[in-house]
Amino acid sequence: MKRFLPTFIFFAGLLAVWELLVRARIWSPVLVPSPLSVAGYLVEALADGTLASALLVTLRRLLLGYSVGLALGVPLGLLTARFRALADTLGLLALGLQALPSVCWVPLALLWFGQTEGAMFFVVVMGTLWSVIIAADNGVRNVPPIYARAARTMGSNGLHTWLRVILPAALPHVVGGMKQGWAFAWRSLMAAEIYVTILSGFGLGHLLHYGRELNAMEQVIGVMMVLLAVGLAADRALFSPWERLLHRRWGTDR
Amino acid sequence: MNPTRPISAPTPSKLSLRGVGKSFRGRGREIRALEDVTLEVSEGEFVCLLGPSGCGKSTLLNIVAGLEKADEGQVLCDGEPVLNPGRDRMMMFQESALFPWLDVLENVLFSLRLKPGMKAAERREVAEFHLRLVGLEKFSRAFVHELSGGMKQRVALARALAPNPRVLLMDEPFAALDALTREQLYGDLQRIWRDRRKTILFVTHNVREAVCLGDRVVLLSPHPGRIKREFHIGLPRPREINSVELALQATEIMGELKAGPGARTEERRVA
Repeated sequence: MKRFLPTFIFFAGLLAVWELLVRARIWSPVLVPSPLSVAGYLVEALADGTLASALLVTLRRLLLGYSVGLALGVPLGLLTARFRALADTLGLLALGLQALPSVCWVPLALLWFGQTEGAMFFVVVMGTLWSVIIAADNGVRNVPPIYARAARTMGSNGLHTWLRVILPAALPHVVGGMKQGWAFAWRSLMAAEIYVTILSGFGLGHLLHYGRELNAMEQVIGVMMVLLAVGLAADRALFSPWERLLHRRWGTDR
Repeated sequence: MNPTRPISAPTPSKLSLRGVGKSFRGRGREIRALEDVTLEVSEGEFVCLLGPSGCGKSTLLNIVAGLEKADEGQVLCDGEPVLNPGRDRMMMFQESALFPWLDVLENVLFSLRLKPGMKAAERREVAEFHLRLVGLEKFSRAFVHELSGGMKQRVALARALAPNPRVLLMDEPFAALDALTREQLYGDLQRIWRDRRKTILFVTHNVREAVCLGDRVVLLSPHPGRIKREFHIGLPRPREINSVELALQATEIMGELKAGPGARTEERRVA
């Protein structure tokens, strides 16, 4: 419990400063709403279900695209690390494309898929895939060669060495890449949702966008806070268990 | 330290190295690592390969392990040419090369899981037996980073011994350890070698270590690596690294090591 106290004080302090600034009337309340009005929006949106349904739509798109990006990216990264011909082709492409801001895929996705779930899916996969390939490739290249040699003397070879030695040895890098891939997927989806109206589902990005259209600043900030909370929760739920495992086994914890 | 139920060891192997040669291509020119190395190691013999760095002793060990191929000559293990790594020849490295994602017991089990025809209970029994052999049965659930350097090498030894190889290849396994830990391990290794009857090929650049452990010390000279001289060590076992007799033997070998053309080549290269 002691650990939570500073966290609580910090966030309560932030809210207090925010409230004080609003009360000082430096800026128009239209541009800077008070924390209370934001809380009011959140309560209302929770009560009428808009927030829950938008959250559900967004998370479904995110998880779908992310898991496909991961399922493709990790094996492809292992392959680019294993075969030089793939490293010089696919690896190079991945390196180039991972630097491309994923919002750049949105115009293309719109023309190819129209205003559909397909466009959303495409953008999220493009956001995830390349950075996961690079991370997995990098992870394998950083595995000390002595592990594979030791495994060979014990009778391991081929696929067994890859699955039982190289993949687990690369795990710290792969998990790092999964985390980065998640961040990229999340960003690209928000960009796509703000950019494009999809009739089949109204996500958090849309909620944010309409907040701006309606000049409802408390909605804009409220949705941003939800995005922040989702990011934190995902980190805790998806990656913390992995990181704890790695710390425990590799001894990288403080 | 005393294993409760002994697991029988197979008869140790006989090794024959015949005219082994090996070159590497480095920085545009060819480097001759080994030239015409011929060596017979009899069943259950403990042979130390001693030489300065760059004499190709690790390369020679890798060739016997089947991790590298000789350019000329061949290695026979019980009359069969060595072409690939095999469980009859297990290897230990200077770094423990233990897997950090597995605990101690799982590390020892790794080599056993690859051995066909063993039941899970049997594998576990064998792994635990070998952890007792190296005195680490209490640490079977520890992770690698929780062990000291000496403990890591003990686990690596248990892992190498577990599949019951006939030959043990050791590449400077104690070089990174402090003197006290090393002395303990000299005692343990001699005891294990006597009890488990292995043929051991042990690479080192430490003269005293070679005299302490080997029935025979094979001196290699560098550039190219070739056998310069052999010394039979007749001292009674178990040997104590700090004994006077051992120091005298070591001094004699050290003199040979410093005097030879190999040493002069090394100096020229450094200058």
